[in-house]
Amino acid sequence: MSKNESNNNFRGIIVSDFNTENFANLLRNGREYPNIEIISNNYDQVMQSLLKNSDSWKVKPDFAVVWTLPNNIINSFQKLISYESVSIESILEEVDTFSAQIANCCEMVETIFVPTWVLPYYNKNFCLLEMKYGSGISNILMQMNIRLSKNINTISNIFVLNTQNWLMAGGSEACNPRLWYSGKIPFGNAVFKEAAKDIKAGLRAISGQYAKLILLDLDETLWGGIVGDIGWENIKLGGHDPIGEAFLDFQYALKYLKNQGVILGIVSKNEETVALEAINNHPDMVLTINDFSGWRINWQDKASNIVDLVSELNLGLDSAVFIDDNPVERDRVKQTLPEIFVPDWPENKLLYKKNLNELRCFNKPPLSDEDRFRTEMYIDEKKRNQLKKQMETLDDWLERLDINIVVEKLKPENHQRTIQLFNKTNQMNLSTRRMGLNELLKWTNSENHQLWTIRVSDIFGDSGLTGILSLDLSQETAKLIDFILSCRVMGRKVEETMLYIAIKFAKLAGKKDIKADYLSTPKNIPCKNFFLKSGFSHKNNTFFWHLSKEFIIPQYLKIEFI
Amino acid sequence: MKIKDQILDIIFKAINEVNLQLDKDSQIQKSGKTIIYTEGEKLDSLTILNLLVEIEQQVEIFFSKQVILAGESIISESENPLSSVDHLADYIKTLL
Repeated sequence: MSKNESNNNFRGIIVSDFNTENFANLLRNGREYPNIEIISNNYDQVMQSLLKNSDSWKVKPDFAVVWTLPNNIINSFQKLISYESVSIESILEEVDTFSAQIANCCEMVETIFVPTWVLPYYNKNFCLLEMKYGSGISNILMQMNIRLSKNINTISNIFVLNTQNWLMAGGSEACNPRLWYSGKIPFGNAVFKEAAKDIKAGLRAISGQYAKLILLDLDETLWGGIVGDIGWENIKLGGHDPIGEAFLDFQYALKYLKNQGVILGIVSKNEETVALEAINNHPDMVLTINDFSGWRINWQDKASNIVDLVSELNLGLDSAVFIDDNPVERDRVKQTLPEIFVPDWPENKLLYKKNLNELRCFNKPPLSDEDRFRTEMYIDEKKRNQLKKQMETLDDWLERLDINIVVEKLKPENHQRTIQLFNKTNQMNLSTRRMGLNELLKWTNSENHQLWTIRVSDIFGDSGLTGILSLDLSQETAKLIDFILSCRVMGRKVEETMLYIAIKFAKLAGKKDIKADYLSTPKNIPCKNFFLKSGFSHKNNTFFWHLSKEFIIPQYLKIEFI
Repeated sequence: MKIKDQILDIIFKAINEVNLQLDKDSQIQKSGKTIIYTEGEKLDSLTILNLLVEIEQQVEIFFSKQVILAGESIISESENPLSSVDHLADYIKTLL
């Protein structure tokens, strides 16, 4: 996302047909990361604001929230709630026009949030026909929301948010006629607070700031009771017991996150055999051992176990969340490893699932294949490391892996993953350019800019799209702009292959030299170290290669150009 | 706890809520002397509306009684109830 990295501010606009000052103030003054600057939130100029040449876009916001009331923005719906005769078709036609207007703006801003339409409760008139298909007010409102989300479904930077969730969280304070009649504010602050939290979580997700790993304690966290004392047959999990059901539900919620690409790990003080026996044998365990990418089950200090496990999984501590029922353990990890997110955890087991769902740190943009199969990829990685231990040399190991590297131009189906890599990769990243899709597409549309994605697979499986390489060919010397590789495949000579590919394309473009400017960040030292050992000459942080010279890579690396 | 103290407690909680929307320099002080609205000095109109609505809601929850504060009538009271938090608490007490 094109935001100012130095102060981590996002600049946004709110396009609305009601008074959003309270909402804007909560976004501006909320303490939660990221900081937000709301540049404009005028109301009652929705359609004008959504024109491409509107002043709204001249301020170059990072995001826009388009939040409207259905009876204000859809004239036919206003007629419907006034009990005039209106056809569903005419209402949906207006929805189509409005959605097209929003879609039209998708190139003007990196992200657009569109909260679904709701009617404040005092505008509803309960009757038996409220949900009648095609004529009941609530039924038609549902159809309008479905039509809106369907219309903009294919636009990757527009996100429809569920306002109903915010209303439910607001309870009896969700709407207050006094605020509406005195200030044209349809919702109470309880609703705006929830909305602000979701917008911030959305911005964190889009800029790659989401948790990748959940580290879980076992006793009283994943099940009730101390398995070492009572045996796996007697732990509380499932069954006809509220606590057992709550643990079951918590496991379902974790399984859902795992299927969304979040990695699960165990850090528990227990006898390993006893704990694994419970996981493998208890009939109500939702999570199986294959759902966990790694574990440290022993009597050692949890903080050191966490460091060890996170390192094995090749992740950063700042991408992990540690969940433990024991406040002493939580405090110890918080103090020792401040990078890790250690949420407060309720004593009441019935609240575990709710607490997990409210963390809002697992939101992420649409799933890529890499997300879906992340756990499987980590299991493949374990197999690779086992093979490595059996081999005498690094080359022997790499040859046995039979690595295949596929190089292809940026394709629409790879957009999300490419943006994810741009915004999330820290270690092997030459320039750490953070950007959104619009900005990337603008950059790649330039005649002199070339960008390739790199996929890596081997005998153990497909690691997916893990690298990005880009060149600026506008000058006499080709310039390597992006050199990004996921840490998942680092150290397998893919880095060397990427340089080989860059050199090959620079030669094809008729260049004589290639250079790479390394931009230092606190996290990309591995990239500098790689370039220092690459054979490129260097002056300060700029690396050079004369293209007359061959850049040799091992023959066992297979490269396919698509 | 006396009723007036309970009301003051509600007002301070409402101030906490409203302060979430305000920047550091505009925070409302939790004091009986804090001025809400006088001829010479006042909070901005949206802040007053938010504060009074929040107090109305909390009073209803706590005392099970609906009071109306956010309206023109409150300003036309002979002794301006909004001249300070303390006066507002006294005024609310008369409505219960």
